[in-house]
Amino acid sequence: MIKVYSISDCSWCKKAKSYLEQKGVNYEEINVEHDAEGLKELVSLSGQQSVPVVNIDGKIVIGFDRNKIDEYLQWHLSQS
Amino acid sequence: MEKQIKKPDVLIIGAGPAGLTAGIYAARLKLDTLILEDELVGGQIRDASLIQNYPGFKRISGSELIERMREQSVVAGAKLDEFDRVLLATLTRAEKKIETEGFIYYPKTLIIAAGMKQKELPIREEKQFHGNGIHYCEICDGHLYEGKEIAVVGGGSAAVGAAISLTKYASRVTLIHRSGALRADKKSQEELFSNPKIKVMWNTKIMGAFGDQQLQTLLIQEEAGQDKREMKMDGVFVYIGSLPRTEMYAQDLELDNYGNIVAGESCETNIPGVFAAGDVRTKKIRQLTTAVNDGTVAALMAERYILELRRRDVYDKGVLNF
Repeated sequence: MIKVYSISDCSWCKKAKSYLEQKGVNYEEINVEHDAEGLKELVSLSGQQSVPVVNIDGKIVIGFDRNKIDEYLQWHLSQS
Repeated sequence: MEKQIKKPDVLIIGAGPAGLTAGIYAARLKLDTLILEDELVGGQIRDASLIQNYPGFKRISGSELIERMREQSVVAGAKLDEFDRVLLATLTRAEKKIETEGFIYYPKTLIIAAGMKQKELPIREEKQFHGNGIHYCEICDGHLYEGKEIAVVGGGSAAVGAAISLTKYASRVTLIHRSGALRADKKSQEELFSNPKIKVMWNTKIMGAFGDQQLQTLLIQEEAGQDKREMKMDGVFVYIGSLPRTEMYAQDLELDNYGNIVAGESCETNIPGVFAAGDVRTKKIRQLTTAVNDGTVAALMAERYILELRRRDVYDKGVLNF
């Protein structure tokens, strides 16, 4: 399960999504600008409010941190 | 696994206005051109909510202008890699070696257009509240402060633009500036001063921040030497200047006291075949238009350098080996 918490005009969110797409992985996007429950979820998972946040099987990446995304994706792909 | 070696004609580091312009020109000159960008394509100008001083466009957002530049560079034939990071640069007259996470590049010419990075708020609590009250991008994080009270720190165009933009969300915006005058252009200042939601605090510095998980209070000092006092604040957006991204080249290239790469209007550095373009170059005026100018000059100078290399190669060896 991969989720990207984002807002519409956020450049880093677009970069994070584009990176996941380049890697060929599916993800669910949660736009916290229009989704109060999603925003609550974002804060409870990451302990902060900035986006993007990438949730890879419960492992949380705050911001676009390519090395962490790679590390967690490797684990994710090994489980699937 | 050994890294693959690549030898483009022109390697451009940075995909801001200078790098993308260099990419458009170099690719149109039929040079094998690669642009590397490990942060955001567009650099700092991407976050400008409104640009009104770029010729040909009365009003355009930074992101839209940059998307047009990106598309134009790719259509021209430049390759753009947004997901690789430069680790090491070794630059000599004879050889330019750039090692990234994915590849080792030996380009014939190198154009450094790496731009600037934003300075962080210089208080001890910055890390504690980074993303939880201390922010650097109003477009990304402004929506978190709907109906709340926020501060913007700085006195340049970025700070003034952000303060105006953030009034969309916040109930009140306080612009905190360390001196008694703003550097932003007069039109933006007029817009700032006429906005009833914005208050300006002059000659004021932020000295600390408090809160549990989220920022709640700023510690400010209103005049040098005066007592500090606390001020309730839900969030603060910081625009206090930038530093050139040039540390990686310091051992080989001549830098000035501010870390800018020393290069004249031809963009040539102290190493032949290495050019500096945009905000990383020593110059007095840093504007979108001057960055685009540098990108143009650097690409055309890079072509001249490559042609000269080819002429020498033919003369010395009687053959072309690239």
